[in-house]
Amino acid sequence: MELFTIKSLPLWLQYVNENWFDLNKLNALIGIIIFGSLIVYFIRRAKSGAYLFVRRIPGLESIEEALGRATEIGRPILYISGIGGESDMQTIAAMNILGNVAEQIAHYDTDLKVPCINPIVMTIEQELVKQAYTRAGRPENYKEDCVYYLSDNQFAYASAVSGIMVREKPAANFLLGNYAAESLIIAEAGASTGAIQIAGTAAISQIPFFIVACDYTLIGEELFAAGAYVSREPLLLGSLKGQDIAKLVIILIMIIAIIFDTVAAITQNPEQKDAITETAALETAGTELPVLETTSTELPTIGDAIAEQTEPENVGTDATEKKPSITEMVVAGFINISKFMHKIFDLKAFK
Amino acid sequence: MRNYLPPIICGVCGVIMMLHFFLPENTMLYKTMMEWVTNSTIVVGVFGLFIGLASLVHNHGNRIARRSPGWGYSVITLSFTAIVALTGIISQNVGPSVVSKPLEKYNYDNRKNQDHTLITHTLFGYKDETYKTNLVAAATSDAPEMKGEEITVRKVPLFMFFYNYVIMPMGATTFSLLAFYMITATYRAMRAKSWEASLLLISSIIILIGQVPIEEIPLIGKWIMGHAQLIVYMSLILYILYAAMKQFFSRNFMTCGILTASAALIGVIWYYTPSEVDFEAMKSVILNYPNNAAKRGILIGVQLGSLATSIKILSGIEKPYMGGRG
Repeated sequence: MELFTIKSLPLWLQYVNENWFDLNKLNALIGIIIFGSLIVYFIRRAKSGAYLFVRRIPGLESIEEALGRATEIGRPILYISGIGGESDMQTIAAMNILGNVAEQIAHYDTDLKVPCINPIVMTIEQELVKQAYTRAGRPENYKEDCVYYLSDNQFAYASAVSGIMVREKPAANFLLGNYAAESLIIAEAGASTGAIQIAGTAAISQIPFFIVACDYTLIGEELFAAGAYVSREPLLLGSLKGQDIAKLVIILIMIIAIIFDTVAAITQNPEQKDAITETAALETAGTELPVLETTSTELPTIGDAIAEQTEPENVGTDATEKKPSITEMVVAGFINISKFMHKIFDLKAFK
Repeated sequence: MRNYLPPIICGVCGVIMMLHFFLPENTMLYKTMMEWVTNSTIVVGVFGLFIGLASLVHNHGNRIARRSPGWGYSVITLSFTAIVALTGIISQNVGPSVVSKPLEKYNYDNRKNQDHTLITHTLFGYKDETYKTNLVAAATSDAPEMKGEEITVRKVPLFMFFYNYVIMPMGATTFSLLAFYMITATYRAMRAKSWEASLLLISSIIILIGQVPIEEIPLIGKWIMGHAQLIVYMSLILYILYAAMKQFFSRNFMTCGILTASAALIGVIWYYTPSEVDFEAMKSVILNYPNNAAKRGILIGVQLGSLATSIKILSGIEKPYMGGRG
């Protein structure tokens, strides 16, 4: 069951849907507008000088410790920004952290090595490091060849980085950005040299590898928060706060949706409950169930299923004659809101 | 101008790309924009390739000129960069000879009636016993399907030869190291140093047993599979009681009480759990519920983080392309 179908819309809206705006992506647009507004609001608040609390992230607190240790023992610092390209959000987040780390390294006058897998990322990072040294007031310490290209082949890159770790024995390894199968190869090679390792990625399947092989790991969104956290710039902190509030909003909506769904499921019609038990009994007995014919290509959502179970036409002829009670009306309201939330959080755009 | 123009270009391009996302996919505008983006990416990619090559030559050239430690590796790297680049330029007809023989009903790993083409390199000689090994190589090569019984000799482009027989096996070798690294990483992760680590250990053992054919272990395999509940619940209860005892001797009576109550609760859950639950079902529960919930939590955070980073870049608050912040 749909809230609306394209054919039921006015003609001009159907024209817009066919030529200018895909209405199936409306949920993404609403999400972007709401959460974008929240972020912009908090950036403005930060600009006006409001105090914004940000929780402690141990992985980022330890950056200074790692840099200090590298300076003390006179070994280089290795910074790897993953295997993502220049348009990868994780690589961009890693580059933001590199700017801040390079600024601190310039103060300490320690060697920095940034091997890259992508030549365009390399060019951007060269500029980033150069600017960081200039900001720190040590442009003369910047070495042209500290950011360099290795190979665009994933495993050739992993082998080369492992080789650098074993030969040059860096005191600290930063593994931040997008990683795939090479994550454990690189992290284990680094762990075997005894270096302090700070890792961070949003690639869910690689997070466990980093947690096991590295001293500190930035999990998921912490990678994106790192730039703001390290620099402590009010504008960046504002965006971080906006992000947190957006997450809180999502959590609240999810909790409310769960409550609505649960209430709707509990208060469903007893006849339907019997039907469900009967179906389950047939399934257990191995009897073939009748195949439902449907024209829709989409799978029904939980809200749809609940709605179908509580709809008057499905209940039976007696139910349609009765006047709906307050409880039924409240349940119907719950179901509608539940359906709306399912629609909004279908998140097709992110798939 | 130098400070203002790049953020303006970035902002405008970003907004255009965002609008492109909302266009219906079958419109001409969508297709034209997609083509434009693809072409631009190719042009930038080509420039990037030259920049990368220049960096590689500069870096390794310097190491050779300064006779830095390990400069010999730089010589090898530069030599092979040149060789592989040359193989891509020269004619497609230049390359090692390959012997192809049809193998229509070859029983490869019990898969009968497979229509394979066998390829054997003349570099290593033509041998019947290398059929099986070469069959794997043949699957990755661009050999045409051959019918008939005669053996044919043909040329494989040199670049493909390097790709299939040097680059790919070397990549696979590095990838296979992952298995050993996983073992060392697992060893470190599976030490029950704390309460959380113990939970991780128990759940990972359940998943491990649920994943492997444990019933094939002689003598004890079937017993383990038949007593899944007993093993898991008893291990949990005994471990918690052990932890409670430790707390009791440390005079932390409150924690001791909580742990004992937890052990009792687990016992109650055990009593009410259906007896047909096995390791595979437990594995599915762990993977489908707590694991999935955590994954989705991370995913929501990541998406919001990406959105916030995009807004910061589009509005010029962050300018990584200009070497820093705005």
